Amino acid sequence: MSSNTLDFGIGLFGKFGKTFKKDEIIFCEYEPGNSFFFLIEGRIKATKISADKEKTLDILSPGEIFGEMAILEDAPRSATMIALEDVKVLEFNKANFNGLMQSKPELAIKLLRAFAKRIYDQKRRLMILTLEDPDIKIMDVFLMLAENKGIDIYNSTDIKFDITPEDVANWCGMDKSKCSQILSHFQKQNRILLAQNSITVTNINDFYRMVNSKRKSFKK
Amino acid sequence: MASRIINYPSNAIIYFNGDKSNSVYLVKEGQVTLEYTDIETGSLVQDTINTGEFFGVKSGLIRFPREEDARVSQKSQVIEFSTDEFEQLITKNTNIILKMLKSFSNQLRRTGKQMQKLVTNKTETDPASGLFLIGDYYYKTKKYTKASTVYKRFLACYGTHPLAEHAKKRIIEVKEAYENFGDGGGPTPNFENVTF
Repeated sequence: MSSNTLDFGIGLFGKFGKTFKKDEIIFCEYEPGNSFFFLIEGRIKATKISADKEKTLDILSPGEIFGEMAILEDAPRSATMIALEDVKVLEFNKANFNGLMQSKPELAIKLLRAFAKRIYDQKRRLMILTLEDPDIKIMDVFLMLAENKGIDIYNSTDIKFDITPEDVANWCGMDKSKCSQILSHFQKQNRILLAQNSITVTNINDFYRMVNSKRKSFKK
Repeated sequence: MASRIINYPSNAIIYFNGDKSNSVYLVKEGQVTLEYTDIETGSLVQDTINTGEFFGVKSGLIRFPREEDARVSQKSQVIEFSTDEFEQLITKNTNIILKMLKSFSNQLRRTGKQMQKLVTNKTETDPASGLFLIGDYYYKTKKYTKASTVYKRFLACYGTHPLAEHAKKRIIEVKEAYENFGDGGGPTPNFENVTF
C-alpha cells in the first residue's frame, strides 16, 4: 500500500467506506474481529456492559483508529462501538493494517502512545478497585482525578471536580446508592461539598494520607 | 540529549519506580531486571530484560513516571535514547512498532479483564454467551433495534451454538416489540434468562 492511497480521499471511500446511522452498532463486544476502522466523519462511543449497566469507556472523534486490538491479537472485540451521530468510516483488514503502519509510521507511533496512556489509566483505576474499604475507594477516585488534572496534592484546598455521584460510583465499581450514602456522610464531615454537577473536596491531602496508609498496610 | 552507551556493574539501579522519564533503554549486552508490585496481589514481580530488548518504553514514550525499579542483574551495557531519538529510531523500523503495539494491546486486555473481574465478580464469559447477553441487555432496556442487531450478529458468528435457537426467537420478539412500541416503548420485557 503506498502512502498516497491513504489520504482518505473519495476513491478510498468507494473501496473501503461504510456509513452508519446515529445509534447504530458498528461492532459488538465479543464479536470475532477481522478488521479495523478509521473514523472519518462523526463521533462514536465505546461502551461495555457490566453488572447490567452500559458504561461509556471512551468517545472517539474523526481521525482516530479503532478496532485494532482484535486484529493485533486475533481476539474477540473488547468493547462495543456505537455511532453517536451519522458516521463515515473506512474499514480495513489485517493485511491493510500492517501496510498502513508501515507506510504511516507516525500514525503507528501515535497509536503506541495512545495505548501507553490507556495502560496507565487502566492500572490507576485498578488501584482503586483493589482497595477494600469503600470510603477509601471513593477518596482514591478523587485522588486519581486530581492527578489527571495535574493538581498539587500537598498544597491544594477546595478542589472542584465537575462530576456527579454516579460518575464516582462508576469509577470505583460501586453500587450507586451506597456511593451516594458515603458521599453524604463525607459532606456531613465537611470533607466534601456536593453540588448539582460538581463535587468539591476541601482537603485532598487528607484523602491522600488516608489512601496511602491503607495501601501501605496492604503491601505488608 | 543524544543516545549514549552506559556501562553498569551488577546490581546498579538504572531508575526507580516513580522517577520522571524522558528516555527509553536498550540492553546492548547483559541483563536487567524490572521489579514492581502487582496491583492486585501486592506481591513482588520480576521481569527479565535480555540482550537486544528495550525497556522503559511505555513511560518513556509519554514521559510518565517509571512504573518499576530497573536493576542490573548482570554487568551490562545499555543504550539510553531520548524519547525523540527513540521515536526516530522506530519510525525506520515499523516491525518494532508492530511488536510493541501487540504487547501493549495484550497488556490492555489483561488489565481490562482484571478490572471486569473486580467490578462484576464474574470470571470470564465465553465470547458467544457474552455476545448473546449483550443482546439480552438491549432487549431488557427496550433498545429493540440494537438488540436485533446483536442477535443477528450472534447468528452470523455462532450459528451452530446451542443459544442460536434462542437468538432466532429473540429476533422475532424484538421485531414485534419494535413494531408495536418503538425503541424505548412498551412494558418491561419479561423473558426467560438462558445461559450456556
